[in-house]
Amino acid sequence: MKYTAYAATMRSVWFSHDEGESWKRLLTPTGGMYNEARCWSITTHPQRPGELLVGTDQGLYRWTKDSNRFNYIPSPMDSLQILHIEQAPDDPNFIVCGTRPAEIFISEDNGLSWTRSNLDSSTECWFINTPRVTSIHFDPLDYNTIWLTIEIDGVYRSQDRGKTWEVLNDGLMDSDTHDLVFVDGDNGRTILCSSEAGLHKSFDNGQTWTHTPIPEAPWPYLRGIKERADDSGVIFASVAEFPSGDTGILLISHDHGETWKKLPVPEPVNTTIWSIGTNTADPNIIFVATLFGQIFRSQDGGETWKKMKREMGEINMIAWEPSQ
Amino acid sequence: MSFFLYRPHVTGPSNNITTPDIIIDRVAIHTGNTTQWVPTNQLSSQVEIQLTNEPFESTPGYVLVAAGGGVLFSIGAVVNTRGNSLGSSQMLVSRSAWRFVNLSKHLTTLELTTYTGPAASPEVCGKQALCELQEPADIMEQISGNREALPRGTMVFCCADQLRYATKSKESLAVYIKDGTLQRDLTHRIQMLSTEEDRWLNRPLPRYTVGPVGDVKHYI
Repeated sequence: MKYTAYAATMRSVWFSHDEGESWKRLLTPTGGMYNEARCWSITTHPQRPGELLVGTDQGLYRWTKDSNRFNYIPSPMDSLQILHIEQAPDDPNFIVCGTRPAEIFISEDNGLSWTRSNLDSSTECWFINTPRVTSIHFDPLDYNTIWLTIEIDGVYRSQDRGKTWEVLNDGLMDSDTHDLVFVDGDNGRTILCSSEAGLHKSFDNGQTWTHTPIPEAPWPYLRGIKERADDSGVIFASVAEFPSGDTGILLISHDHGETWKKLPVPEPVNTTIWSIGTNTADPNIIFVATLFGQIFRSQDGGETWKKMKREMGEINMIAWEPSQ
Repeated sequence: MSFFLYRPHVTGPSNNITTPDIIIDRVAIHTGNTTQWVPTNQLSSQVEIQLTNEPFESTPGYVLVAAGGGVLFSIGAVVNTRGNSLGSSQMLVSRSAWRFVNLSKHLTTLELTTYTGPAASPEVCGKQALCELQEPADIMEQISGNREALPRGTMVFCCADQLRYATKSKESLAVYIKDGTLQRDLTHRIQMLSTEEDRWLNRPLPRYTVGPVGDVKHYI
């Protein structure tokens, strides 16, 4: 299968059409976006092959393969940093964006109009001054339910597609939350939450959380956590000394997060593995990127990894989708 | 969904700094005994503004801003053409701010001063003690029912009406407040530029450069 990989960096979005071996970006004169735009978020949708939504510090953009350019989408977020974008699994026209400061903006018409959600998140944080949205998830069992993690303000849930929100922080050791994984099986649901203080689990749909240290992790700081894009129970987690430290490691669990082991990612890993890119089109193809620009690829479901030759300045998010 | 992204530089009593980015989507001007909600899209932290040659009035004052770590206290000015409604005012707020909680016990000792002229040799326009203005706690209570907090996203300008100043374009106006108790001060200097003045004596037409014209490989 041919596929295209995308990397959102501090200098625009980079494209790879050869399995991550080489990367290029669009030319400023024809690409539609300044080549040094700071890009934080990218998202693809299986119903919209060849279309990429990009969140930047200059607004929201849509790239399509046919146009091969970024087209600006007017939104109220132009002065904000658009850190996360998710489209509803059942409706790519329903777009949820999370920003810094921590706000949620929703479009139900593919970006033509926007509503600022009444997300009553913290407006200030002693530690990072301005809280920000670190992940957005449509509940895999109920697409009307949206989950958020906010750094630093914990876990939020909306059961009416973003109209109202509730805070679900009971039991979190640290509200510096980063990402969620939902494990739905015969024994009910477990939600995994990565945070500065490590892994938390909830067995009651987020009502309470239990801190669950990972013995194999040399440091508590847990950044990305992602399920392989199949129902095999394989989950990846990135662990580091702190957000932008000297190195990072990637852990794998084959049993829904019960036990973990370190993966043989080629060293040295130059800092925290910040983003994990999977796609249901082929669960075996996985990209991970460090905050300081390294890219690693697995083509066997995460068991072995190759470091890509190309490095970027900073990578905020990495993704891939089948080429059209 | 109009809002203004306020980026204050908040100095604490121990000289510590925090820099939260705060979305402001409700702005009020308190003048005389009334409080009026006004559009956020005329709110700015710019230090230079353009004015037409109509007669303008600048009214300095203090500014309260809702924030998660406690209400912020800053200074600014409301600039308006004489006789026009508050709704058409330009509202200029300093990015330098303090926490209200650190001032509340000695607020009455503070005094607003306005200056005009060059920064090196300013002339005092006027002074007004904060105790002569509406108390911040009263304003907060009027808006939120709470004497120590404002609803999120809210900013309130409290005008020092005695310091209203007939502003001419090409002037500067500095709003200054000194906190003698904590040995610190805030200044917000606004340079008024005339829309009639042109920094170019002979303004050129915009230029265009085509970049490489030969058979050159693009490296970007």
